[in-house]
Amino acid sequence: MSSGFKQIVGDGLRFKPLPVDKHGIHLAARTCASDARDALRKARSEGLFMETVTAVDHLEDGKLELFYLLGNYERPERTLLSILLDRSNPKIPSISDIFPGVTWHERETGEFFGIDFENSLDSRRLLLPDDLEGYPLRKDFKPRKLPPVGRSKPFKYEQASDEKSGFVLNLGPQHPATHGVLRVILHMDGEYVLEADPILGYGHRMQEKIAENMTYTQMLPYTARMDYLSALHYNHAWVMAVERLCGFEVPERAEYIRVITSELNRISSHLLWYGAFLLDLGGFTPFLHGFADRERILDLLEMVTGSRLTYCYYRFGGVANDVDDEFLKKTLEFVAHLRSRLPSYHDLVTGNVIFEKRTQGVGVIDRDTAACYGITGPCLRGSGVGFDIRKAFPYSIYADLDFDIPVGENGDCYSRYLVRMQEIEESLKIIEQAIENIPEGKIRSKVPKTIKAPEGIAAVSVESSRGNLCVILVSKGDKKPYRAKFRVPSFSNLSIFPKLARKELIADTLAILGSFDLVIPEIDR
Amino acid sequence: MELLWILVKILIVFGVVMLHVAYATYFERKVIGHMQVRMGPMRVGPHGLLQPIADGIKLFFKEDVIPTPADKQVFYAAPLICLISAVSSLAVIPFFEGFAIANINIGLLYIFALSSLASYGVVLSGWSSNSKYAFLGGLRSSAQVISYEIAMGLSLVGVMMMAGSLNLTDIVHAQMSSSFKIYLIPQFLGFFVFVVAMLAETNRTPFDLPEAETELVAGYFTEYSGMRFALFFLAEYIGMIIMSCIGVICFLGGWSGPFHVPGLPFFWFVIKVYLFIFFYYWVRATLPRYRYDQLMALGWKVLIPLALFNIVLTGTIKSISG
Amino acid sequence: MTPGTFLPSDYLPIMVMLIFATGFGVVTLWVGRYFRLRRPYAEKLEAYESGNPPSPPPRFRFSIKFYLIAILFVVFDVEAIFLYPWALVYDKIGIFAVVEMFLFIFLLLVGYAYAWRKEALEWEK
Repeated sequence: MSSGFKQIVGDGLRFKPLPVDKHGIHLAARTCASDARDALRKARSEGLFMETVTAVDHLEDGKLELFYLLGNYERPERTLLSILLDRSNPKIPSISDIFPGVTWHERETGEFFGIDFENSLDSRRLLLPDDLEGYPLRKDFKPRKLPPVGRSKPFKYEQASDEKSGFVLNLGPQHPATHGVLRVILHMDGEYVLEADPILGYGHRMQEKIAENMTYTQMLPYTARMDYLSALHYNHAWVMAVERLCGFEVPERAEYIRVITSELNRISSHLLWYGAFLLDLGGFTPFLHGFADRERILDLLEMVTGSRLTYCYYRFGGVANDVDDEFLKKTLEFVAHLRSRLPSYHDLVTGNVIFEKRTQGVGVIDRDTAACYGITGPCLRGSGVGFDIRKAFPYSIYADLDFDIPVGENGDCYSRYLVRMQEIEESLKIIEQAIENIPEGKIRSKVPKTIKAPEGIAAVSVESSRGNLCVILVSKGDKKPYRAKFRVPSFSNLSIFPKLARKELIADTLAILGSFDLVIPEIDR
Repeated sequence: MELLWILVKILIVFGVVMLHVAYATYFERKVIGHMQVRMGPMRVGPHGLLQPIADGIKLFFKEDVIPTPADKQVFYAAPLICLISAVSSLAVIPFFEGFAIANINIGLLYIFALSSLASYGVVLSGWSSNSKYAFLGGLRSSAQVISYEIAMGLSLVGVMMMAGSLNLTDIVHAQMSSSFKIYLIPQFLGFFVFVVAMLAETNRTPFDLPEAETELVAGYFTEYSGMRFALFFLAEYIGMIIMSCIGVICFLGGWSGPFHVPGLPFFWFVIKVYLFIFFYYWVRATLPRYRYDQLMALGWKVLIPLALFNIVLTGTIKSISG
Repeated sequence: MTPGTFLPSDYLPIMVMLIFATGFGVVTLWVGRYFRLRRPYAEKLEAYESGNPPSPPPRFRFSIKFYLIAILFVVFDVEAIFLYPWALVYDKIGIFAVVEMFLFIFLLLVGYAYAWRKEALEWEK
């Protein structure tokens, strides 16, 4: 066990507050496998939500360290529960009965590290192919050579084994409504869905293993490829995690530029969602209207970042290029333009009777269920919980800005829609204020050429367009991260889908799926 | 001799309608394009004017993929059923004074009969494709038929009462001699019910459930390609034109207009039909899709009572005033 | 044309139209056969399944939820047809038509209200 960890995690169930500005973790505790269930049951009764489950392989100690990261919707506090497991026979009782939503996290951690979650509700593989041997995130994993891909043999029909298997509909991976390579197996009774089973991993690239083999700087462009619709938020989370760990300063002007660009990115993502959601409901004009305005954002971001989709613009201790007055002027013009356009967006969609009929009361998430599944972002705020990382753990300059967190009332698709539309307005407000107050000065502080992060762990969150994006970075003082975990919002948000889809019409399940604003490569990583 | 004359008439009507179908697709893409801040087809010919022809040629030469599990005979027959019922409906439409291929006295009933037949094509194509999306699409089509068909039939009873005939030419004549000149004004309730049912009849947005792209990929014609797909497409657009014609004949006074355009007896008829067609496109560019239990509720709980009320209203007013 | 004047020869054009429409469809498909590309292979000929290996065709009992509505449809469709002849001769039969209308529509509404009350118009879950 390295000394960096001992600072944070004590022995036994002993909570120890830490300076949040460094690690992003308020309480950290170590417990043993047999006590974990009790501790987590207590956490559940206190209303904490499960942010993620992950692990680190300490090869030289012969141990696997399992982390449960818990957040709180009401208070800005984050708890890290750590459990040391024996590397040769890692076993821990599953907590999927306490936090139903944790099943997916356990499945992922199980297949990556070979940890056996006993009595799990579902122990199938989640992201990895069934024929993969070994556990890829263990340090001694040796990838095998893949056989060349040839033309597959013609398929043979199998007769339905029994009547009970019923009508099974495959939604995806090649389906217009799944927005990427997601596959959902629907067991149907007529047009009602009995059971929905999402199959992930079609776009899995093992980004977290890639991160372990890259220097901090080399990894930066990869982050944009996870969620290509809010690439700047991924940039931001990654650079912030490294900055916190290494203690780099960021000049104020750079922080302003970061906020302006990442809010622009948020608007562009929401505009695309606005169109895609209505497309799922069968209306296809909003899509093109949203796209036309999104195009202007892409032009603006192209001016400063040089790229239009997968940006790599933030740097450790600042940003890559300074913005000029023309960009700021044009951005202000765009803010005014979008303000004038938003009423027509609402005219087209918000008051529409069919739209209301299709979305109101569909896919209702209440606060407690949201906590079980770790829902964050607009999906959570639609349920009336005002949890937003920008307010809860104010990073960058968000603490100095005046903006509201829109919340919905009913937790249905309609509320989620309204929350996102209001968020666009709030983002416009933020951009305006930031442009008004942007100071002159440096855009990058001096950082060493080769970054060696000191030993330690940092869990740093940003509010991406889809919710709480958390980078958990474990360093052992090397040039490369020892372990980098991306806690992605869509992963948790989608994990509630099987529950919401039950006993719904197929049309409604697609409305629910659309209202989540999923980006599949982000889930698959 | 008579037979030859009939054949010539058929050829003229068919040719003209086919041309209109081709350019209705062009019109649709242009109208919706401009509603969506884009241009629509621009590449083939000036302003994309040759686009429909290019599309037709492409579809004609495309490979015809017939899936192995499909029920071949039914699979072949389904698009033909749709096409035949749509094209045959054209026979009774009076495009202008004294011009209809067949001036029969049950014109309206004939149209209803054939349009119901068209949904058989849809249901059968869904069934025979042996694909799940197509299957669901076909089922949805049958659900749709039982939702709006009664409302559609009842919505025109008011018109029949006022005109005293099922013959389409007679209905137009009766309108010309009525005090309002068009039945839209006394029959506005019937008109409303008819328009909603008309959208459902032709499987257009917001009732495009059988082909709901984002739910069922392409619905009942998922497995169809090339020319077979084109036949469905043709049937759908001819169906739209037929329904627009019925709307024009029963509610908007057919070929009559505020003034006579010399040499073009069908001038007003075409204008009015295109108003309907434009309405179709406008709705398509505006509305999202209904869910299909909602469509059923709409048909049974709103449209049928409204149509019945319209009948009672028409009867009462007629017996008081007459 | 007054109702009741039935002339079979009026229907000749319809017969011709039906034949013509059938002919058009069949001939286009048949002629096209000689021009179309044809390059089938096993995967191309599978039924579409969102990119998954095909599962058994949907040939088993399938629960449609609108069975009752379908039955009601048959009933109401027939009743709607009864209204047509009545509507056509409405002017000629005077006060009898009005009485008849209220009676008939009343009966229709009773059945309709019963169906609604019994939740036949709702979907079974």
